[in-house]
Amino acid sequence: MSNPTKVIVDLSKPKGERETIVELTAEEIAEREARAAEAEAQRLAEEQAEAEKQANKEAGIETLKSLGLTDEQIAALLG
Amino acid sequence: MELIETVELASSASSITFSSIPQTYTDLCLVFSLRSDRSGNGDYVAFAFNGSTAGFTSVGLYNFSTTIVTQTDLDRYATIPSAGSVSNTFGNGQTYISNYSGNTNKSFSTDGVFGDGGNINASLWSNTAAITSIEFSPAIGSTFNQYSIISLYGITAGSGGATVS
Repeated sequence: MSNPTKVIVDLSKPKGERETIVELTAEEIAEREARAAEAEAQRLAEEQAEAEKQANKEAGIETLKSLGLTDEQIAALLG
Repeated sequence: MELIETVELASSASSITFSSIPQTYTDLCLVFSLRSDRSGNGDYVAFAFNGSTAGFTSVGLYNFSTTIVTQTDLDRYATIPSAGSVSNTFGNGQTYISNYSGNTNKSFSTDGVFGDGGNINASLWSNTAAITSIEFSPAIGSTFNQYSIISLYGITAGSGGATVS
């Protein structure tokens, strides 16, 4: 199976002769995979942080309800 | 605003690079229609200027379905659809780079939208070198899909309108 390719457009050349398709080297593939893994890990961490924030918000609303606040009063507090 | 070049992928590719960018314009604008092969729903565009991914900082507002999040200091920018998104759709967006050939740090803005999300992003490349090449690649996926398109435009101050004196 051939390696993935990259497209290079050299704007110093005349139109119609600018585009070159080049196979990635093993080093480039490794570098891209490392960057992608880092980006995916960061995305997952953000997703988890957002889920925790949402869970805390819902728990807080339930606590306010248990103290006797109405839905309208809670909505006003949350802005 | 003058079209410098348009690239449409005849088959999938891991990146698209414009090199030897003419230094004759004031600003650059890249307009794109992209989709990546990431298996989940949504991906991002990542940039390299002059072959470097170092020195980038950014802050962005991202909306995925009903969730709006603020993200900082990422090396990923416009949101684009991927293999887990609505099938056969491409995301559209643009990047505007001011004063790309000057000797100051380079600020740029990026926006991107697709069926399930969108973003607007303010970024800085802390490098005083003129930008001579720009590489686009998917941040998480391996390749952009066939039929992805990027157009590079050059903008000259005062062209196509009144010159302020």
